[in-house]
Amino acid sequence: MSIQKRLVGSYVVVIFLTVLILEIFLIASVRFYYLHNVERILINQAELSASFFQQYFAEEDLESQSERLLKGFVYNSDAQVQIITASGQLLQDSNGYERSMGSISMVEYPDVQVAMTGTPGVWRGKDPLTHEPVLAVSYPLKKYEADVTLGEVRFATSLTTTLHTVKQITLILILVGLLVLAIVTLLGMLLSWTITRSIKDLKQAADRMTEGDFDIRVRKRYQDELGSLADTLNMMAARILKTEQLKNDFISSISHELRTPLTSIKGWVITLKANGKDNQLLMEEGLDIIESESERLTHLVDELLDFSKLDNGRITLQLSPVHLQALLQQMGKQLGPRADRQGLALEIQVDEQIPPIQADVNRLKQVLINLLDNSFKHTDPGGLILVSAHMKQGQALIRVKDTGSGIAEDKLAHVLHQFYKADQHAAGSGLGLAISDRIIRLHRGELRISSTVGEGTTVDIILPVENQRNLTIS
Amino acid sequence: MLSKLGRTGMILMLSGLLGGCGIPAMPADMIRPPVSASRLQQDNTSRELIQLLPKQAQVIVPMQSNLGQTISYGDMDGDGVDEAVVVYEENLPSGRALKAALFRQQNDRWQILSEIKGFGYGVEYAGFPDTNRDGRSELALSWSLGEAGNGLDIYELDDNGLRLVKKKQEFRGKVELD
Repeated sequence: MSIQKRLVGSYVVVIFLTVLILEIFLIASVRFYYLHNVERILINQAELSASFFQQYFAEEDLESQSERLLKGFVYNSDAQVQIITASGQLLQDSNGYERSMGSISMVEYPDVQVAMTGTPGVWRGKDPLTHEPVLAVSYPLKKYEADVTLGEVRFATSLTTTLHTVKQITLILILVGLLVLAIVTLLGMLLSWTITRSIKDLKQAADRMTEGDFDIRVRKRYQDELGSLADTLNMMAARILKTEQLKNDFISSISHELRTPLTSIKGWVITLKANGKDNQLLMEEGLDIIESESERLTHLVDELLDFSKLDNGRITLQLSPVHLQALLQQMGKQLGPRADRQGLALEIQVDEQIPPIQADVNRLKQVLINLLDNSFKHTDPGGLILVSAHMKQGQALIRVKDTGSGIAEDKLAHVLHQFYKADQHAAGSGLGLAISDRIIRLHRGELRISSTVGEGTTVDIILPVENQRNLTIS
Repeated sequence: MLSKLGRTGMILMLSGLLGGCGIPAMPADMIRPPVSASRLQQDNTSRELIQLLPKQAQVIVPMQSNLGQTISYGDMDGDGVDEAVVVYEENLPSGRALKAALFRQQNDRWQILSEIKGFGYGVEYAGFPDTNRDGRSELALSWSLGEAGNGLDIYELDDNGLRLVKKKQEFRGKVELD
């Protein structure tokens, strides 16, 4: 069953039950109210007539004063008034009755039967002759200060009008109830439509995305949960597109990177084939270039393999105690010539108190070379590259700081992403920082980059000192 | 499907409406004459007397009274200070009830001496005639049942209080006090 049907259905069920209960209660109340009041009025009139008779008229013979009594009893009342003898014979009737027409016995009426025993009787039923619904109240006419029944007075009213009125009100109540139901059904449909409309939009968009169309965007209709779901879906599609873009960029850039040394190698091979036999100098130069270009290729492919392994979590660190002081000094010596060549100052400052840390020394070296390589690339001659290490809050902090060109704020957030290159045309795979970040994270450490354009970049590597276990990316 | 709370509410509402609260007054019971200007100008005595009546009481003017006077005065106990009688209708849950209230003045303050139950549809006469010519007035109340006639009650006041001395039926419009 669809959401819309379920929503509307539950709405209607709840309201139907509410309306039904209210209607039953109201209709029963109205019916009771009308019948009870009609009965009360008749009882009052009968009681008033009977008590007046008992007080003042009981001395005289009932039959001889019956005509006059009837006039008094009828006064103020629209009901049919009958005066009946103690034995149940009709004496007077406000509807008209001639004794000459023959005597009529009223004994068959239950209310008269009760009144003949000396207590008031009330009867509701159908008139045996006309089948009209009738309410009748009979009161005994008693002797003054004595429990002797001299006759009965009977007030009777037709209930046709009363029942008709009750029926009319019932009909109105039922119609109003149906109207309420109809309005609620419409409202429920409208409300559920606002919900299902958003869901349908979402489903359509998700279907399109399943088919691979990530350009589609879900329309956000309301600021609700479904609206934020639409936002999330749109954001997801945008990210997928972005990743797709990065991947494509990467493929084209890495193809270019691979092609450049290959072109160079191929060119030299052709040159050497043609002229190499005679020219020893050319031969050596060519072979040197082929060697360095092959190394470049190997390095590139290694980087790719590394990244793929890191990404799949297939790399295990070979942890051993590493003395940062020795490591950094060694790196300083190793890279000193390059610094000299580029006219840069490379300084190493290591706190001697720093304890040995548990780390994979080769991986750590890889990270440092990567960072320093970046600094060398982006720092102009005359600049300074400072590598320092000290303890901070129980952790080892290695800082690589340069006075290079810096990274713009909007690009800083992406530099750790795989395949990202701030400059699409720059050499390299775009994986260096992503790999470094993963290696440091594998050490349960953290890599932080801060930078100001024109002033330089600072990279902090924070590593825990007590690192005993063999760690893998989880 | 119906919650427990809902059921309890229904039962409470039903019992409240059918039981304690009773049926609301019928429209026919609500018809009352507005307060007339003349009544507002009634003297302090009648206002004081009417204030002693139960709330919701409706004062009735006897058919045979001078200029529609609602209060009659007469000396029943022979102490030289007049007693007063007011006939009124009270709206009780069981229906309307006719009543007459007899007032006595003590230390310049009126108080209800006795309340008398009435009969019929209205009051024909209420006053203090001296029917037995003993020098003291009796209280005469004539209740009416329309064309069927009236019922006359005559009361005397003695040390034991109000006492019914005569009960009589009358068929003519005029009240026969003798």
